[in-house]
Amino acid sequence: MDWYENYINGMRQTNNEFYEELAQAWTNDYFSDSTLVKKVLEEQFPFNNEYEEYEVHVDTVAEVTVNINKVIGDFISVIFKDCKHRNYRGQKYLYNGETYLCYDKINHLSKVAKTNLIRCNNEINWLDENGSIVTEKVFLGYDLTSTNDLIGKDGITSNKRRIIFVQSNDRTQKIKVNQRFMFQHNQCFRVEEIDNYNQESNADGEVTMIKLYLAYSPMQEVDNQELNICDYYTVDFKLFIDQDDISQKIDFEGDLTATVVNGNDIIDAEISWSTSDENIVTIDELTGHFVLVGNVGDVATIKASMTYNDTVFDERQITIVDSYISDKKIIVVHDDLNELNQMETLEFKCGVYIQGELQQDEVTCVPSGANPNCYSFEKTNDGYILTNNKISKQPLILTFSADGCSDVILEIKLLGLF
Amino acid sequence: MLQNSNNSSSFNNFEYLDEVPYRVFEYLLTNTSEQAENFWKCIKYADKDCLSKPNLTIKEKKDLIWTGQQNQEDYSLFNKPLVGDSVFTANQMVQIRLYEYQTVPTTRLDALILYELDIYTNERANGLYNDRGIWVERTTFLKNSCLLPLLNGVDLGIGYNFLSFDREKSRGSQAIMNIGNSKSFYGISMLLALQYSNVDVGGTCG
Repeated sequence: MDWYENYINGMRQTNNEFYEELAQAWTNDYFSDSTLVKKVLEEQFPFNNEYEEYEVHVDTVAEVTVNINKVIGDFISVIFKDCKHRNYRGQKYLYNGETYLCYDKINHLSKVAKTNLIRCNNEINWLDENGSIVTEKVFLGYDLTSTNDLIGKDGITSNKRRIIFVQSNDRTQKIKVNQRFMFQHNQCFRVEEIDNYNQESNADGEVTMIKLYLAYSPMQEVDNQELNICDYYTVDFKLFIDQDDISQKIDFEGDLTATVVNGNDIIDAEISWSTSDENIVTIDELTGHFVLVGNVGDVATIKASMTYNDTVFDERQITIVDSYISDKKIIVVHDDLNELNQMETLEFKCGVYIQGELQQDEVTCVPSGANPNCYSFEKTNDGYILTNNKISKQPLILTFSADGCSDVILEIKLLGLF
Repeated sequence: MLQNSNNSSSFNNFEYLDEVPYRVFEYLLTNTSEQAENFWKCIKYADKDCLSKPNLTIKEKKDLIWTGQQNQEDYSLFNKPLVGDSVFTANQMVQIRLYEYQTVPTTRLDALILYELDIYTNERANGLYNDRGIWVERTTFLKNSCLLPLLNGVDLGIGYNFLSFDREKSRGSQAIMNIGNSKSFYGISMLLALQYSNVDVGGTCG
C-alpha cells in the first residue's frame, strides 16, 4: 500500500506547522490595509555594510519604562512579514533616513518575527592604523552616570561615565581600552571597559554587539575638534605625489603615483585621485592614470588624497603646452641603495623619463671600481640585477648612460656578510 | 705595513687579526654540510626536536649574529665575552661567543693565538635528540658534533696554519664545562689555537 503511505505522509501536518501557518496567515492579514507597513533596509550577516530591503510593520515599543531622559521615539518595534525571518543583536537597519541597531532580536520560539530596534543617536570617529578616518554609528546611553566629581588630593576631576552600544564588526573589534572618542566636537570620553562577551546564537560563537563603558576624559592638544577625533595629532600622516608638476601636449597620457607616510614610515593606504577640471585633464580615481584633454595654455590641478581621510592630500599642476621641453629627459634609477651585504642580491629598474613618463630609450650601465670577482651584474628587461659575492674595499661604481641624458652615477659599498 | 719606522728588522704584523671571529662566522654561514645546518638549527630552536626542523635560510642565520644592537637578547652569535647574566632571560636559549683569548708571541715573527669559544645554554633548553634519535646534552652536542667537526683544522685564510684543537700546538687548548650561574644557564668554554705570522708587509729583512 505504498500509494496510501505516501498520501498520508503528504497530508500530515504537525501541531507546530499548523500554528506556524496560522501565525503566517494572521501576519499576512496584518500587513494588508495598514498604515504601519514600511520599508526597512537590513544589513546582511556577517556584517558587511550591504543591505537588503524588507517590508515590515513598524510600531512603537510599549515595554520601555519612560522617564524624562529616555526618548521613546528612538525605540521601534518591527515585525517582518515572513514569520521565519531571523536577525542578530547589533544588526544595523536603515529606516526613515536613520541607522538603527537591533537590541532585542527575534526570539526563535516566537511564531511572529518581531524585533526591537534603537535609533543610533551618535557616532564615534577614530583614526585606524592606516590613517583612515573610521566612523561608526552608535547608540549612546541617555543617562550620564557618576555625575559626582572625583575629589583627590591633587584636585577635583570629573567622574562622569557613559555607555555605548555598537555593532561588533571588523572595525569596532579593534577598539582598545583607553581609546578616546569625542562627541559633538567638545566632550571626550575614554574606553574604560569593553564588554564583548555575549556570543550570539546561530552565529558560530561570534559576538555581534559590543557594549563600551566610557569615562570622562579632558580634551587634549592632540585632539582634533574640527574633525571630532581624539588623539588625531599623535600621528603624522603625509601624502606625496611622486612626480613633479607636468607640462605636456594635448592627448598626453601618463600615470601618477603617490606615497603615504606616517612620520618616517611608509604605510599602505588607499589613495583617491581627482582633477580640478575634467575638460582639461581626466584622471582615473583609483589608478592615477591621466589624459590631457584640454587646449594649449590650459592649467588644471590634480589632487591625491587618502581615500578615508581627505584632509591628507597633495596636489600637482598640469599645464598643456605646444611641445615638451626636451632637456627634461632624465635617467631614473629606481633605487637609492648605497650598500649591499655579501650574498645579497638587489634587482633594480632604470629607464629614461620625460616629465615622469617612461620612454623607450635604452639605458646602459658600466660597473667599475670594485674587483669584478666581488660582484655579479646582469641586465634584465627593465633594469639590472646586482649580487655581492665578496666584501670589497673599493666601492662599486655604476655609471648609467642613455642618449641625450646626463650620466647617473651610483656608488655602492660591497659589505661583508653582516 | 708596520708603522714602526723600523726599516732594519721585520716584526710580526697583527693587523686584521681581529677579523678571525668574522671569518669563522662567515665560514659557518656559508658551509652547507649537515653539521653546519645542525649547528644553526640547534642555536635557533630551543626545543628538543630542533634537528628535525627545516634548514635555516641565510637571512635567518644572519639574523642570529649580534652586530652591536642594544637588545642582545635576540641574538645567539657574539664576537665578545658575556658581561653579566642579564641576557639570560626567557627568550634567549643558546649562545655562542667567540673571541680572542690569548696572544702568545712565540718569536719576533711568529705568534700563537688562542680563541675562546663559549657555548651557553639555558637550563630549560639543555637537551635534544640527535640525528640518530639519541637524547643528548645540547652544549656537548654543539661542541662534539657540530663545532669541532667544522672548525678543527679549518683554514680561515689568516695565519699560516689551521685553526685547531690541539694540545701539541698550545697547552691552553682544551674544553671545560666551567660556565654557569647556578640558576638559569651553564656552558662549555673551549680554546682553539691558531699559529700566526705575517711578515711580508713588515720592514726590511734583517
